[in-house]
Amino acid sequence: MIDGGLNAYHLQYLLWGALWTIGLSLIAFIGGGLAGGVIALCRISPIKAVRWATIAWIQLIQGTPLLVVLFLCYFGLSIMGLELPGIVAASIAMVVYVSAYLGEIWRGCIESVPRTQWEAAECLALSRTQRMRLVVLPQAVRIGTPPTVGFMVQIVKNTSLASIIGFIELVRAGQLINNSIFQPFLVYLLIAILYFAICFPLSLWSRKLEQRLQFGSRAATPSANAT
Amino acid sequence: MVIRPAMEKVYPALTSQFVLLMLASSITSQISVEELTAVAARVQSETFRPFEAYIVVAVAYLALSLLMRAGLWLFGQMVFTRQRKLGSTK
Repeated sequence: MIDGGLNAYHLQYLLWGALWTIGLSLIAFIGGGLAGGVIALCRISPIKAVRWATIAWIQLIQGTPLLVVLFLCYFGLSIMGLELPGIVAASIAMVVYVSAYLGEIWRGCIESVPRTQWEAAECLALSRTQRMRLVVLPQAVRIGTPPTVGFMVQIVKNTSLASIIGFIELVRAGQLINNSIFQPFLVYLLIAILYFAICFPLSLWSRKLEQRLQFGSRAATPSANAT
Repeated sequence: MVIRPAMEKVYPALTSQFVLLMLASSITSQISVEELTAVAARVQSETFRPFEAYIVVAVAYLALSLLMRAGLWLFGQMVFTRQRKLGSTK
């Protein structure tokens, strides 16, 4: 592998980039998770205006590519006089993107808690907050864990787009190395391997969780059939 | 016999996947395919107004995805009539 100039420093630089990829993914996941939780709850709010505003937000983000969201954050915020480094603009864009998708995923999980559970909670005279906190959310978390972990894979892969606004993560590091050693195939192959090394354990974990929690087969029984 | 009901079941999910695919095609601008985002990049490099260029493109993508979703939904309504005939659309 060390035939034309790829040396240990390059590998070290790539690993450094991989660390930033993981860092940006974590920022996106934590920030997007918090915002997504709020969005999921707003999406099923009893107030119509809140619900519609959230639907509009989700449609807006899911209807535009992440690339464009990224550019809008990067250029839009600098128009407002904030000269942002790449990491901040990339984080904002990723949080916005992740919040819309996770919000919609979690909304689905909350709504797939069997209707009978909601009704039982209501019969016990629990308030809306209590019903959510004590009955629905604990079950929704169980349903929601496998798809959430699955979506983390998407987050990791989508952070590669942050390379185009100059944030040095795995892909950008690879581009820089390629600029000096001119071996695109080798460099991008290494990048692919690193991405695979990050994402494959996540998909395995997601699959394992799915098998363990077994929601798919439980929901299929007619007694627990949600509308 | 199995394919048709199976298609009917996955069609809504497939629809979203098509829309996501259309959105993902914006990435091809990075390897200099002349599509919407690449044109925006050229416009902004000629006019130095990146925000305006990308906002127009964002609206275009939004319209495109809504149109695509509506079109695919209509197509589904036309092609998959079995469940409605059985009266079990819920």
